[in-house]
Amino acid sequence: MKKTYIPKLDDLLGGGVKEGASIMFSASPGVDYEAFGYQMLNGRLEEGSAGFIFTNVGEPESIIYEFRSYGWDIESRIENGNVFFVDGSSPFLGMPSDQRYTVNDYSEIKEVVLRAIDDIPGGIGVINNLSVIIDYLGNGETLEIVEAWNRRASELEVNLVYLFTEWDYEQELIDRIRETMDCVVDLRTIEERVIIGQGFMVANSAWSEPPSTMVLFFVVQPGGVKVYVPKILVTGPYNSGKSSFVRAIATKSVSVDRKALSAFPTTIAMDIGHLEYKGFMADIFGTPGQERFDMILDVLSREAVGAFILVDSTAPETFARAKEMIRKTRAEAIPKVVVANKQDLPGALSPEEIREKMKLGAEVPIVPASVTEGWGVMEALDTLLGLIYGG
Amino acid sequence: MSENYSTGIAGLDAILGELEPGSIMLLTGPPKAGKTVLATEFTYRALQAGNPCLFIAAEYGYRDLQRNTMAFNWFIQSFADKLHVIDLPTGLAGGRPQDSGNVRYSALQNTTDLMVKVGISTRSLYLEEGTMVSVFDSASILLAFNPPKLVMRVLKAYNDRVREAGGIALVVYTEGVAEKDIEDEIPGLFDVHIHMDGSVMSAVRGGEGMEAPYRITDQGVNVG
Amino acid sequence: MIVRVPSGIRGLDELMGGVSIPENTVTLVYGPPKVGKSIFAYGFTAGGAEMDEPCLYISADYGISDLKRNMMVLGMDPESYMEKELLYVIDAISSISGPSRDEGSTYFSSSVHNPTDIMVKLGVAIRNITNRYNMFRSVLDSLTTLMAFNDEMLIVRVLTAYIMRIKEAGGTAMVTYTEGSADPKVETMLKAVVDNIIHLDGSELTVEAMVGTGRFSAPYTIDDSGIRVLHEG
Repeated sequence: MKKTYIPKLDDLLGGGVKEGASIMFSASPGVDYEAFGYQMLNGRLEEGSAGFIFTNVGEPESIIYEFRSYGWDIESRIENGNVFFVDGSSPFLGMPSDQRYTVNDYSEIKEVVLRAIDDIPGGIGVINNLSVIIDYLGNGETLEIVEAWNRRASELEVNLVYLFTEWDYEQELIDRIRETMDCVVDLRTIEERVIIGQGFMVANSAWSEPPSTMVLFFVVQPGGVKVYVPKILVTGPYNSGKSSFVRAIATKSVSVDRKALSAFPTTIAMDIGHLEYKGFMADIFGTPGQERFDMILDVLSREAVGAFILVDSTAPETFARAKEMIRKTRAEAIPKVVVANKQDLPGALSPEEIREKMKLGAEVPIVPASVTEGWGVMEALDTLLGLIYGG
Repeated sequence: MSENYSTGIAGLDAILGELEPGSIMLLTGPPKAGKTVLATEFTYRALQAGNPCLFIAAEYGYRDLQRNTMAFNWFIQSFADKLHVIDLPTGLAGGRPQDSGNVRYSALQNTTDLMVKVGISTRSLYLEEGTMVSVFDSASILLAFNPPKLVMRVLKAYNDRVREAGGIALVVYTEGVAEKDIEDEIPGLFDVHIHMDGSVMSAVRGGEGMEAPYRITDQGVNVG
Repeated sequence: MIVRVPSGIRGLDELMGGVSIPENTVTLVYGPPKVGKSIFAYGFTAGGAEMDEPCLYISADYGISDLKRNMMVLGMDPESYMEKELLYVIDAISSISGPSRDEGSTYFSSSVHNPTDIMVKLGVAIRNITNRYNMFRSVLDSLTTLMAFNDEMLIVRVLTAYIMRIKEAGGTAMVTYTEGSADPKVETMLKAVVDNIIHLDGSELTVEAMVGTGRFSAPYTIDDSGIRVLHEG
């Protein structure tokens, strides 16, 4: 097995990628995926493998610069001949190229990349990117070329890493491309009107049974791909049961703390917990309920990927405050679930009644719950996760 | 953010009417009909009215955008925090332009990277007050740097992104640069089609349209 | 406020109030064959040289000898310009017919078959020029010849890169092209990527587009000093 050097990905793949296996990162438009290919390459180069980068989207100079921005040294390895470029970008732009291989015309592309694969037995080649090839050559020819590359790479135990932007190709073509790969990792956006996060998930792997876990990530320079532990807010009016809720959903192995945030003028206690559930990781922040702490809501919510808004089902006079907190946490812009808590108490309004009183749009789910009696909490969590990843 | 939008360009609003959030507009015409003047005036009026704007400079770079707007005394620099620019061609000059403030550099042949930057900017601008406006000048130059089918896919993805965010998009396209099958397909991606032929401007929406004469003056586009 | 530079074309600047070509822009000069497009470009070149503004001339239609002779016939002094480093020539044609002459600091040999090399020489020439000058001109004469030897879209990409390089360096460029010589879609794309368009048809000059100016026409002739635009008064 060869390590991918992408955090969490080796776990999801049962240790790494098999020797000679092809792996495709298939991304929705908008997802930053180049770092995945380059990070894999960099890790393997540091191990002592040889490698190449085929590029049709940027000249080698700009890619070298990207590596430097990530904090990875590719230049000395280029000098040693451990890694080289298959340059399909410079000739296209009329720029000079002194790379080991250039692709002057798409008719040469199959043979040139085959030669590159031959140069690096046991190594790793990155194809950036496959989408441009498809739209130049057409579906049938591209598939045939990819199959030929994968066959040769498999014989020589070269891992080919394909970067593919999943534009609106016909599903049939996408399916056939995915079938030619030993492993497909989907890169998706988390959206609520705009992109608020990105995640990767192993769709299939020829050598393991991957869990259907989506790992949220971000890309930093320097650093590369990092796993992102999102914040989930638990907010709501005073006495709606936020602390109990945070305690109920936080993973038992991590205790809930009341942390004092001394950066603020008064000491503020917040409930913070950590959650790992069905492969999803998050930090839970229970926001203070009193109005005088509202300034935190804005700050916290900038990094939140979802929010629970707790309301006391027996206290309709607090619903207006709940709505105000939704607004202040910018929870308008992130997936959210209203938890109608204290359903066990007499006088508790039903979710439909609460929705009417709050004038809440139909797109926000209201989940009935009683935290003290221990029901509704997991349903609320499943509902929110469904919103975050469902789209 | 759910209110209807007016461009603020007098005669154009008269033939265009109000735009619902999520309206995607195509602006076509032969070369030098004044499309860039209209697109930059559209941008300036949007900023003046307090709206955030994403400008994709594809046929020319950020420097030319600044110069073009200054020629009309439209000082877009005063709206620096609400104006995001993605500059595609300047990288061809050989240097490696550095992203600075809200100006990001990409490349004409790296449409994946373009969409990453569009995603970043739309996320940021969505949080601002006002209706997000996005201008793409022009989509036709992409055809020199990418296969035509890919350009169509990129346009669809871009339109979807602006529509999803409830913004208003204006995509400039010079007619006559692509094969007929591509050119015939393009208008179908848009809700509104504005055409400038050198003397007459028309705006068509849902099969119905209005037109008016126009001139380019030193104040901008004078419609009607 | 648009800054303009003298075009070097007699009568044209007068028609536009003293100076005509907007600084730091790209002007397409096009029309049928033999209407004076190259002559127009020579006038632009000499106009700059007379003001001590250097010109970077990419010559794909005429080799250095023919280029010099053409300019001398019009009363210009290209030898002197080159000596004073006010004229830099990238000769993309002479190498085809024989060995290239020695390269000096103002003469570069390249080939129409190798637009990449032309751009490399362009980069060197720009560096030489911008070490000493803030303002300069450039001519690409002609796009038609480059397109005859290369994929047309490749030349559009190379042209885009040329335009960006000249602008980034602070120059003002002029590009010549024979109307109808390329695919109509490519010709339309050319008109879209330039800033200004001047059409010559043998007797009439039309400014089809120019930053800050409306469209207008004027008659012109070619005499033994080059292009002369005629106007009333």
